[in-house]
Amino acid sequence: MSLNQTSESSAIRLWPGIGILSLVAIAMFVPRLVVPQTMVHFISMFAGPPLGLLLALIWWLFLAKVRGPMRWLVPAFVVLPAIGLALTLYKSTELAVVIFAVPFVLAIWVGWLTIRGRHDRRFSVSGCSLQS
Amino acid sequence: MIAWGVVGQLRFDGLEGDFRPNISWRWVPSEEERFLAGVVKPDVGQQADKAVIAAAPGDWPEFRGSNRDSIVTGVSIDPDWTSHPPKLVWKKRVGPGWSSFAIVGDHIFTQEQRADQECVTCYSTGTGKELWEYRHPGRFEEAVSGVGPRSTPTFSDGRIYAMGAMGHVACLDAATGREIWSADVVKSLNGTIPQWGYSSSPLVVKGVCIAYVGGGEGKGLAGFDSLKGTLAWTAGNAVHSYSSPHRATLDGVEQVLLSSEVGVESVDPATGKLLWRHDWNIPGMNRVTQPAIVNGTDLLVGTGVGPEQGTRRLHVSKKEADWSAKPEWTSRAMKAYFNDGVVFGGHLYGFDTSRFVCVQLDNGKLIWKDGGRNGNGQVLLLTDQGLLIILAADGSLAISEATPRGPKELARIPALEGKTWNHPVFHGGRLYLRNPQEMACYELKMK
Repeated sequence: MSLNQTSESSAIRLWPGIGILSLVAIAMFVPRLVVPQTMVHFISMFAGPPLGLLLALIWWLFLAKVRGPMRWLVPAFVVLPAIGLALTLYKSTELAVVIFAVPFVLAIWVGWLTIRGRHDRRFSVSGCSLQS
Repeated sequence: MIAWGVVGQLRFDGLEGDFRPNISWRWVPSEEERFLAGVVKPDVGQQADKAVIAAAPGDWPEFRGSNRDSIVTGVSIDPDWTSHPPKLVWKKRVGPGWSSFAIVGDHIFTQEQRADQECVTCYSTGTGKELWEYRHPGRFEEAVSGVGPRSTPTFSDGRIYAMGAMGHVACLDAATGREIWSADVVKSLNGTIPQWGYSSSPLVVKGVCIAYVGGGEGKGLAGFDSLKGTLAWTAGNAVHSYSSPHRATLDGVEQVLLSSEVGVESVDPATGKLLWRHDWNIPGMNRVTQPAIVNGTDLLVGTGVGPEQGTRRLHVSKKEADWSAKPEWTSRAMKAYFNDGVVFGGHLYGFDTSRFVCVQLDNGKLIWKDGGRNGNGQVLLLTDQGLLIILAADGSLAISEATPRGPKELARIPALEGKTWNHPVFHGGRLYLRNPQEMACYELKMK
């Protein structure tokens, strides 16, 4: 996607993405410290990242104010490789994709948008172009 | 896409006990790949006519020794490892697996994964040379806990009884590895493969091979005729346990205990009749460690996961035909997950998750807790000298005094490379250690 295509649109609403990433981080690390090795810990550890990914997709598609092809391409670039890796290179260790790789990619995705946002008023859209 | 590209270059090698991931680059050969590249086929024919192997005092015929308690009696070693450190006799690669060793005479028995086969293997104590292997198709692989069989072979009357991670039970000739009978507790008894794979070591008592099934509702355990493999009985309600059947004599009666998510169940080994049970249900969770027998009436059970973490002391008694199992105390001082403890001198020494602790047996109170240097390790007790030998999760080997006065580590040596959750074994003045990538024999200076 080029900048021209996106500059018409308003800036991406980024705060929900940051909030979702924060929630994923909390789910991964806080129960481990507060209630270690309990059902709460395990559920948050294993379900937090995929739920976070789902929320991130909802945010990007419907709440982030992204227009144009990037609205659909970015989710595809996040979800399809995850499925592909889980079925191939990570077959039998697919859980690693869910609990470690998904948060890593979410952090790169949202982190990149945040960093770009400090330098560019349209911030995240150009960032996505580069990222994708 | 760049981020996913990086992820695609990584290989996930499981988790540490504290859930930190083990990650390596995909282009670096895994320990399993290195092992498979160098596997030397045993000369099975040479072993086929060997005489029957018989156990003798001092042998280590099953998981955690004869009493499944990791206690060594009647030996005295030089504890000064600074001057006389354990001497490496041999070290070699081994296939992945969390199995420990059974050692009888000059034979070591263990389990390991070799590509798509679960293997029971036999090695020489003197050289580490492989003597025979028994292969069965199957590969249990799981993201958190890794690859390979988990349980330890059991030696009894010239035979080896082993359980794979997917529920295959095999009875083998200990001299040759020839299969005598086998059973599949998943297919034949509706057992449920636990989340981390079958980890329970079979127990042979009174001509019955007792194996964990996890089928619930009367099929928690199964007893097979140890000679023929025919099903003798099923019993118990466990559906999620990594603990092994445990022989005990309580209030004068020999029985078999199983610690599981439902609590503790006790059965008559000959008939499978339920003698007593203590309900301590942790739905969806599990128990891993062995019951620790305190004396002729009391035992300890516990877990390090779930809503009720900790250790409980039970007092078991029998009045005519009625059994009772009453809790004496429950303590959170030791929340052992998969790391067994040892009982010595009125105290319990073991792991509170990844911290080594000493707990008072009378009341369950914490006496001391170490700094966590051993991680999720495993411990042996040399009871004559009150010494603890701890194989730490990082593969280092420590010797400590078993004393309530505080953690007294005497020395520590690097022993194995890589994550080590397997139980160490003492046999004939030597320590036998392994993890999913290597096995080693160290000679100790005896007194």
